[in-house]
This record gives sequence, structure tokens and C-alpha cells, in this order.
Amino acid sequence: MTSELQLELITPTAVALSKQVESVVIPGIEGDMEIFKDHIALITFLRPGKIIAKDTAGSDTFFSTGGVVEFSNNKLNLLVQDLYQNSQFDGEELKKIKEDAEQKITSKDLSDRDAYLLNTTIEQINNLKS
Amino acid sequence: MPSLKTLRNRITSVKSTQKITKAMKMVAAAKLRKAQENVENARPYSEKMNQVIQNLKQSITDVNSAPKLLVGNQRNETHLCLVLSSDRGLCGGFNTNICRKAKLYFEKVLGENKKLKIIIVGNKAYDQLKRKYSEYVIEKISLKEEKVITFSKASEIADKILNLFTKDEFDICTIFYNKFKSVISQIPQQQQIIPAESNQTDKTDSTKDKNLQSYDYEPDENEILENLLPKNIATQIYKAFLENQASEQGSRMTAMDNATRNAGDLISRLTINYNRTRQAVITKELIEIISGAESL
Repeated sequence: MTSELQLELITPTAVALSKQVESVVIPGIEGDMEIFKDHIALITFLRPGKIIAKDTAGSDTFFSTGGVVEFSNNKLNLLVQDLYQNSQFDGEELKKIKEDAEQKITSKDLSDRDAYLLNTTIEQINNLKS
Repeated sequence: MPSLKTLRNRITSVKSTQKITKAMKMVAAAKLRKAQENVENARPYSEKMNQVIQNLKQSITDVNSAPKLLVGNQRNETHLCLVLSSDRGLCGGFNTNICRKAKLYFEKVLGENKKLKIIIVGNKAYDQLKRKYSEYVIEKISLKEEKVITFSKASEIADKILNLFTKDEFDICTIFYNKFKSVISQIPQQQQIIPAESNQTDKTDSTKDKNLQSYDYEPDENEILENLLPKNIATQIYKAFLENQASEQGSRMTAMDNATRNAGDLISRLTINYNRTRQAVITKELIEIISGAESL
């Protein structure tokens, strides 16, 4: 298998996933992108959304509310502040995040960036269920 | 000479104390293992974070436009101290060590006629520091309700600190915690988090230079740094919390181990004393009987 890259999903509490994958779809701050082998070295941010790791056997989907992406030498490090597995998509935690975001968005002194992030959070969580 | 009854009571009381300290030691040992695991699990995240920041730092050429969190606001007037301690006692010199370290720093800051602000985490440090420094304490956080310290709790505290920083309430932020070295040794640490101190990373710089490479930044470096640094502060605080927690359990384990051993010593001494006294009473009674019989 030559067309593989090493994916590491790291949360503050553990290394959640470390495996060889073919490509990873990440919700970048400036738009979704899919990273394949030999991508240019890159540092960027995640906005809230789905992370999809694809390999020959299929794909794994995760949800995160944000983090940092670092890619170099065919090693993709995703430092995410939180991570939810497929099975947790209907769980209480995500519901709570959504409610928090809905509450925060009503406050007036929000920067554009924060408002954007909160909006995306709500939208993405809604999308997960469908 | 204490009576037999008081001795007997003493022995029972010491024995039950020993039972308690023994149980506490075992509980601490179990918690320590978990805490240690947490520290190890959190390490990759903070290491990677550090690497990325180092990378970015090198790509920044203009110091003036660099984010304030990295270079500071060029002043050195108000110091904010975050003191981490435990909420429960019976853990040896754990809290005293942090407080001693913090007090030294406080005195230095006050001696230079600078302003001091303190945020205290945990009841025990507050108890020790309130007598002398209560006027400087701006906030007291208790984690008694939390069973496990989560990352979100740490970022909550980080947000508070960052808020103060943007309001220009302080210039330099230092965090005090116990670094977990081993079960028997915990080192009180002071670490400056705003502006970010780079002393620990400097050593590794030369080795990392080789595998440094130019990254494609999206958005540009400064914007990334501006967003990354607050996250890094949360990470640092979280790390400090975990280290502190592991240290607390380690410290408690050693303290309780000592207490159990001391109780054992005390029991054997008391038992000897008890046996002697009992024998003395028997001998005395015998002598009384014999001398009574002889006089007949």
C-alpha cells in the first residue's frame, strides 16, 4: 500500500486513533478539505464538523468542535479539543454542546468569528442526525 | 503509671487509626495509578501543541506584530499568580510546599513594589495564604465537586485568565503546581504562562531544527498563533492540574504509609507497656499474698 498516510487523532486526554488511512476529510476553517498522501506540509484550524477517515475497508466518522491540523511527511496530526465517535452522535453531550451554543449566540458582544463558529456548531450537529 | 484500662483504650484507638490510614493509603495508591495514566495520556497533546507553536514562532519575523500572548505587553507591573493546591488534607507536605514556593514569589513581587493578584484553586492553599495575602486574592476556585478534572474545566479557568489579560488587568501570569516526579518526590514548580516562556523548549531547539520544515499556513501565521496560544494556555493549565493531582495522590500515599508505620510502632510500644503493667500488678498481688501468709 503506497498511497497511505498516518493519521493521529489526539485529544487532551488520550491518543484517540492512530492508523494508516488513504485520505482524511477535515472541516478546515476556510472550507472542507480532503488530505491525501504527499499533500504539502500544512498547518490550519478545524471548525466544528465531521472528520472522515477513509481507507480501503471503509470510513470512520468523528465529530469535533475544533482543533488544530498539522500535516508533514505524510503524517497527519489532528489535535482536537474534543472528539465524538459515531455511536455518540445522538448522545447527551452533543445535545448539551448545541444548547450551549444556542444560548451563547443570543448574547450581543460576540465577535464575527465566534458567531460563525457557534452557528457552524449548531448547523453541523443538526446535520449529523440526518 | 497509667492504669491498665487507659492503656487498653489507647491501644484500641491507635489500632483503629491505623486501619484508617491503611485504607487511605490504598485508596491513594489506586487513585495515583489513574492520575498517572491521565498525565501520560495528556502528554502527546501538549507536546504536539508545543511543536506547532515552536514552528510558528520561527516563522514570525516581525516581533511587533506578534501576538501579545507570546511576547507579552512589554510591561512588568501587575503579576497574576495561579496557585494550584488540593481540596483535602492529610497529604503530607504537599500543600505547604506549594504555598512556600508561592509565598517566596509573592514577597519578591511585593518587594519590588509591583501589584499582585492571586487566583487560588483548592481550599487548602487558601487556608494557608488567606491570613497574609487575602487582600490580593481575586478569585478562589474549588474543585471539590469534580471527580475528574476535565479539559473543559481547565479551559474555563484559562478563559477567565485570558479575559483578564485582554482587559489589561495583569502583565505576567505565573502558575504554581507540584510536578510529579515519583511517588516519593514531588517538586513544587513555578511556570510563567503569559507571556509564554520558552526555557524548556530551547534545549530541544537544536535537535528539532533539522526536521523543521516550511509549512503552508491557512490562514496566515499570525492569525493561527492568535488562535492557538489561548488553546495552549488551556493545555498548560490542564497539564498542571493533572500533574498536581498525581502529586497529591503520591504525596498522600507516602504520608499515609508513614502514618501506618508509626501507628504500628506506637502499638508495639504500648503493648509492651501494657504487658509490663499487667505483670507488675500480678507480681504485686503475689507478694502481698506471700508476705501475708508468712506473717501468720
